[in-house]
Amino acid sequence: MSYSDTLLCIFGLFVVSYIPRILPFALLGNRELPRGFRLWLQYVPTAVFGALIFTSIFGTGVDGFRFSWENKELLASIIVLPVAAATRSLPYSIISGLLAYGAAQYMLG
Amino acid sequence: MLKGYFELKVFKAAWPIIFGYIPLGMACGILAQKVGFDWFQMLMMAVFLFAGSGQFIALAMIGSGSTIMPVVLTVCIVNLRHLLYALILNQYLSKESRLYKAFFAQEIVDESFAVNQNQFALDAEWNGKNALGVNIIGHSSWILANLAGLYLGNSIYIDTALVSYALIAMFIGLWSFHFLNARLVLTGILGGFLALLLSYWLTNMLNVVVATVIAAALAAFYEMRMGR
Repeated sequence: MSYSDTLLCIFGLFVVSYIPRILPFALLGNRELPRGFRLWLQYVPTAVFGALIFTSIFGTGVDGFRFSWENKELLASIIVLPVAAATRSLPYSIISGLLAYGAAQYMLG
Repeated sequence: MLKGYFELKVFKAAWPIIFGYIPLGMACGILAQKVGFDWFQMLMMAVFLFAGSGQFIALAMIGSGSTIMPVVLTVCIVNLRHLLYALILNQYLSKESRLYKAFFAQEIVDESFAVNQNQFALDAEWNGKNALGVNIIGHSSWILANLAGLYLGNSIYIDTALVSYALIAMFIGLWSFHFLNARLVLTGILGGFLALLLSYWLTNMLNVVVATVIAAALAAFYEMRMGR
């Protein structure tokens, strides 16, 4: 890709990334949403966190799942999850995560 | 004029984002340097694309000689999930102006969504200015980290695996704020398993989007049928 092509590409990336970001604001605005839709929205954050976290830990089917005790993300998360659930604190979650992941790196090499 | 945007509580909410973005953004800058980007290309990408995985994927594809269309289409799919975040944040920002929303929307990413959604849900005082403050702090630290990585290149060592895990730990922490009842916990676990299952067929995080839509719909459907 030439220099000007990369800039054109970045412009294209901006367009396709901005559309999903602005669409809900543009379409819904201040409109009152139907009850079913509001209920659905209420469950979206927990579902999206679950989906992001599980995929980050185990990988994807296409690339091959990392279902093993050598999986450092899994080992660290086994520590972080109870810490997070008990403390409901971001600092504790992140610090315990870094320590646990560092320990897993040290032990597994 | 800046009052509200950069209060102490805004920084208190935003620090985990800065903490994760500095090393991760630098790693992204290092990749950009390998691909041959100069400061202007990096700046444009950080300002106008502003997406963690989106930038990594775009840079990797450009580096391996891809043409424009495949890069744009792939990142389009990767960033579709921001639509879900905007849907939720829109509920809290009904009083804000069009200009505000146009600006706010550009800075919606996993991390700024997660922090702001959480603040809006837990803190009745949290307002649009605070939320935009979090976005701007996150975006600025990302831009600076990208440029720093581009310049420093391989002269510094960043343990990307460890840094990436810090962000996963942050997501686990943010997820735990939703452990308010069994249905919320189960919906999250369902979303996780569905995302894994769907990842056999759906790539580029599309599995995350579809899994979220389905898991939340099942939970909402169940609540409607059971009437609470």
